[in-house]
Order: sequence, then C-alpha cells, then structure tokens
Amino acid sequence: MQMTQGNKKLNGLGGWLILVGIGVLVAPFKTGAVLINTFLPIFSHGMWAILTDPTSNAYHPLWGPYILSEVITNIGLFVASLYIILLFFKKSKSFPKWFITISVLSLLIIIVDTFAVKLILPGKPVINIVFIRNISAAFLTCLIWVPYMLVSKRVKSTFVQELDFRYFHAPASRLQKFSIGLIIVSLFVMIYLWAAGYGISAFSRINYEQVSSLETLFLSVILESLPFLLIGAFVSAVIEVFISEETIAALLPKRTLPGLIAAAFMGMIFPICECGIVMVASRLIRKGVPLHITITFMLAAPVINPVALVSTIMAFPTGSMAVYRIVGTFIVAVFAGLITNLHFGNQNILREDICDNHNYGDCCDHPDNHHSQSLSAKLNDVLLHTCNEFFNMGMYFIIGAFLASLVQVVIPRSAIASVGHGMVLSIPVMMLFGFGLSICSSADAFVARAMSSSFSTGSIVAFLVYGAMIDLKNTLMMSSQFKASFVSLLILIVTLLTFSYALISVNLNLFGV
Amino acid sequence: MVFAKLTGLIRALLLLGFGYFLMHIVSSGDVLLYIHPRFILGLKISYWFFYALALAQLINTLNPQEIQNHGFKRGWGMYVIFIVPLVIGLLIPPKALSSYMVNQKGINLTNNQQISGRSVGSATVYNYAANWNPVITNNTFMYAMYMLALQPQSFVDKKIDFVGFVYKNKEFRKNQFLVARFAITCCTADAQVLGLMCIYDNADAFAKDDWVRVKGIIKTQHDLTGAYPTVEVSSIEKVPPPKMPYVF
Repeated sequence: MQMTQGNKKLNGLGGWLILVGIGVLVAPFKTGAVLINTFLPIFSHGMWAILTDPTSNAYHPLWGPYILSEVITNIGLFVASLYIILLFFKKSKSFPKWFITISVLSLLIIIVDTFAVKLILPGKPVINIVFIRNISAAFLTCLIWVPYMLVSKRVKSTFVQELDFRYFHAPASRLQKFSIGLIIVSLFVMIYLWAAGYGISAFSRINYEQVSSLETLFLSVILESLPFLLIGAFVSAVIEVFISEETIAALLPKRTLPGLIAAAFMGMIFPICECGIVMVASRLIRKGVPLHITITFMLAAPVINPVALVSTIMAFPTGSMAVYRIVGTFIVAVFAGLITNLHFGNQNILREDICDNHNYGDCCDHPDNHHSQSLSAKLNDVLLHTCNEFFNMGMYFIIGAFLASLVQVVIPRSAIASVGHGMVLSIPVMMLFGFGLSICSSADAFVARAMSSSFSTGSIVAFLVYGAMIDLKNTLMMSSQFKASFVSLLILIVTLLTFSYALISVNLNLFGV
Repeated sequence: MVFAKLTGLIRALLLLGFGYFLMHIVSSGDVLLYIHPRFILGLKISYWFFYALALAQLINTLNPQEIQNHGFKRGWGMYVIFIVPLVIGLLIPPKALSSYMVNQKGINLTNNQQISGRSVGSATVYNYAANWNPVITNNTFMYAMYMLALQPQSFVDKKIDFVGFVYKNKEFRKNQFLVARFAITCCTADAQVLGLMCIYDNADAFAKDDWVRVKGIIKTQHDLTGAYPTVEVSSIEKVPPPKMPYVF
C-alpha cells in the first residue's frame, strides 16, 4: 500500500482503484437482483397476504415490519450504490467516506437480518453455508477495502473534488447527532430488556431465554472486567501524575529492536489485561514513549503475562499450545511494532479530540504542572484523571460487552463447527469467532480447549493469539483513543500476521501437537 | 460553566451508582450467578474505589474556584450508556444461565482432544478411580467430570450420585437426557457444560431445566469421536435449584 517516493502518478482511477471501480459498478446489479428475486415474488404471488394475515398458519406479527424494513433497506442500498458510482467517477472527496459507510452497513445488515429471522423462526437454523458465504464476503470487503480507503495515498490524491451537495450537510453537529442517536438506541434497549426480563406480555413472541441469557452474560462480562478497567484507568492516571517524561525516556532502550523485544515481555512485570491496556497505552504515547514500543506492549501484555500463561498450561497440559501461543504473540506483536515504526514513525496517531488542550486538558498542557504540587493535590488529580479515563473508555467498553454477549447468545458453537477441520478456512473462522467473543485472555484457553475437538490445531492457535490482541470490545476501546486509519491498519496487520503464523507454524509442526 | 457543573454531578451520581450496584450484588450473594468467587475481593475493592471517585468528583464539582474537569467534551448521550448496566443489574431480578445456553455452547461428551492430557494424567486417573467416592459434591464436580471424560473405561460399574439440571435436545434418544452443570472459569461468558448422559426409561417425566439428583451406575458408550461415560439411572428425584447453580 505504500508507494515508492519516485512514483508521482498516484492520482487517477488506476491501480487497485480499478478493482474498487468494478465492485462499485457491479453493486447496483447485485442489490437490484436481490430486490427482484426475493421481494417481488412476495408481493406479486400473494405471499404477503399469507404472512401478514393473523388467521393463517404462517402468520407472525413481525413478518410485516420485517419484510417492509428489508425492502426499504434494500431500496436504500440500491439508491446509495447508484449515488456512489456518481461520486466515484466525479472523484468526489466524500467517496471514501460513503464507500466505507456502505461496506460496514452491508455487514451489519446481514447480522441484524439473521438475528431478525431467528426471532421470527426460532426453530429454523439460520447459520447455513449461504450465510457464512455472505458474511465472509462482506467481512472481507470491510477488512481489505476499508483500511485501503483510509491509508492509500492514491485514494487521498484522487478523491479531491468538492461536489456541491449542500443539503447533505445538516446544521446539527455530528457530535449532537451521535449523542441523540445513542440516547434513543439505549433507551430502546433498556425498555426492551427491562420489559422482557419481567416477561411482559407485549414481548411474548420474543424468546425469553435468549433475552435473559443476554442479560446474564452482559452483566457477567461487565462485573468481571470492571475491576480491571478501574486498574487500567488508575495506572494510567498514576503514570500521568507521578511519572515524568524524563524518567520514562531514561528507562527506555534506545535502539528499536531491543526496545521492541523488551516491550513484548513487559507484561511479565506489568500484568495489565486487555480491558485496561488501551488506556495505559494511550497514556504512554502521550507521555512520549515511542509509538512502536507502546503498540508492541499493548498487543503482547495480555498474553505474555503470568496469569494467561498459567491458564493456558492448565487448559492444554502438554504445554505445546502455550508455546505456540507465546511465540505467536511475540512474533505478531514485535512485527506489528516494526511495521508501525516504518509506516507511522512518530506521527500522532491519537485522535484529535484526545490530544486537544481545550477539550482534554490533562494531556498536553503544562507538562510539569504536576511536579510542583503537594501530595494531596496530586492524589486528588489521580482520582480525577481516573474518573476521566473511566468515563471516556467506559462507554466503548459497555457497548463492546453488550455486542460480545449478543454474539454468544445468537451464534451457536455448532454452527461454525462445520468448517472446523478445514486446514485453512477454519483459521479465519476461529479468528472471527475470537473477535466476536471478546473473552478475557486468562479464560479464553478453556473455551479453546472445549472447542479443540471440533477445530484444527491451527485455528485454535489463531484463536488464542488473535482473540487476546484484537476483539470487539478492545477494537471499540482502541477507536476511542486512536485514529480510525491507525486502528484499521493495526487490525489488518495483526490479522494477516496471525493467519500466516497459525498456518505455517502448525503445518511445520514447530512445537509438537 | 453550568454545563460542566451539571456533567460533574451526573458523573458523581453514576460513580455512586456503580459503587452501590457492586456493593449490592456482592452482599446479596447474587454475584456468584455471574462470576467466579475469586473475583469478589476485586469487586469489593472496586466499590470502595468507586465511592472514593464519586466523592472526589463531587468535591471538585462543588468547589467554586476551579473546574478541574476537562474531559467533558462528549455530549450527554454517553452517560445514558452507563445507566444500562445499572438498570439491568439493579432493577431486573438476577438469573442464572439456563439450558438455552447449553445449545449455544455445545456439549462435549468425549474429551478426545486431550491426547496429551491422557498421557500426562493416566496415573492420576487410575489413582482417582481407585479412591472413587460415589457422592459428587459442588467442590468435586468439575474434577470428577474431567476425570470421567478423560478415561471413562476406568470407572465402569462404579456407583455415582450427583446433582445437576436436565438438558434434552432432538438428537438424543428417547430414554436419554443430559444432567449437567455450568463450570465457570472467570465469568459466565466462558461457562462450559459439564455433565453426564443419563439413561432412564421414564425420561419424559423430567423436563429441560429441572434440577435432579441422580443415583446410578457408570457405563460407557461410543460415538464417532470416541468413548464417553453414561449413567444407568437407578433412582432419580427432583430437587430445588441449588443456591449456587454453577461449579467453579
């Protein structure tokens, strides 16, 4: 993705953008085909009447709203896919944004759609080969093209035209809209969960067991992680108030590689698990620790620490799995650090709002402010910083915990077991599964063991290495601190590295079975 | 200024809410429906910490001289998110995992992936089988199930007496049902189903999620993945759900 310096002709609709162009041109046909093949018959053959007539056998009160919202969504996607062609050929500045939004939306729609069908027809298995194919295609699109849109220089230099569509810029600020949206969504979620938790009759069509399992799992994840989130916030605050930039600079190795290796093993002394590590990492960067060192530390510490080690050995008593896991984590973390170093150097990868004096005063202004204070003032500062960290991160953490429990409730393990023994395919499936589950790195080894009879060794290794570095909860938390382009590149790097490591190491049988 | 004060107050209230929620759930004992007991100490420390944070936030908000709180850039929408776990935790009656999640987690009757474990544990299993105590308690449940799954042959014709909930699905034979419990490593998100397949002619008398006490004789059966232990039921009775539904 990085081009050489001499290559000046990086603008224009060439290179990898040709692939994007083909995809953009094909998209309306795909959506159109879905509309014509799936939805036209429903309305023209009287199916609609059957499904929405309360006296018929196939009736379900949700069929009507479900089909209507599907049709509206697909028409919306169809219109959007036409509009995006216009943006593409006009080389509009907003093309990457629209492209990313639509790619991510398509993935979300598949997931929501599956969940909806599950609600209406609880008995019918929804996870079939078509579903897996669709969701992998949508996931791959997001995985490859979204980071490309964000980091490619060609994209940056090609899509520069202002299109004059004023009505697309509503006066309300994005922040306001976001807040209002969040309020509405969470109110709905709360009312829904509350009512269903009491078994209120209006919700009788919805599976109680699913909802109560969701509540139990959600609270369970929150309760388990809260103390660790607090530790993370507290450590970050202590570093901010008590440790000066000079101390940190003096402690760090000067050369890159030894620094990275040391960073990978820092977890042995600083066992901070993945719930707290993002906050600490962001604080370290603001304190002047080089980016690559921080990234390696952030990726490695949740796995290369005594607690995770012991639990992995307990779950896989021969110890070879623990070796696979540690070596894999080490390699991936160090390489990710190296690549970060080459690609980003010491660029600022923190989100602007995180490092803005006016909005987040504690990070950049008056760097030596804290050293002239009395101890009690310092303690007060530590507590306040802890509060700030807790609230800034907590929102993402709670949403992540909710989504992760949703994954557990909706997707049965057996659904993914059908691809479990494939040498290659099982690896991305297990990585995706580890991503969605978001369980703590000290417990995931036991889950992996429970699944290891139906999954290839390579995929178990991938699950253990990947799930602790990148998961749903942790991605949301990273995006609260780091720029989106950085987060997506990091995820891409870690994904590719883990995949290759799992495939190669197990096939070469490096550390036994 | 007013905005900052109000936000500070909301924050202090939320922190107080989290402290109270943790204290409540720990002191009522419901916490064990969600996580492993070893996390309780952490939660106890956490609620005191939350109270301290709430106090610090309150004092600084009420302090007229300076507003120390800079981190208020996001709208108020985010604070609604923090209410969600509080509402679920404080207003909805707590529930243990039900057999619905057995479906989701899947059952693993054979333990054949433990090829390695088998060679390491063989002597241990023999020892365990030699000193077999048929009455399985909360504390011995997890270990006993691991041992049984590891080498079912060593336990054939021994007596067993244990408690668990009933699970059935369409793939089971008519006279079969699983009597199982959830084993928790950290929290219910990593719960695993541990149990034994029971063989009993009047299986219809028991429904999913009934808690039962089973007495019987251990036998083995085979499926595609290997041998697994079963129980020939000699007596079975319904029991009230235990206070501590999981095993740790």
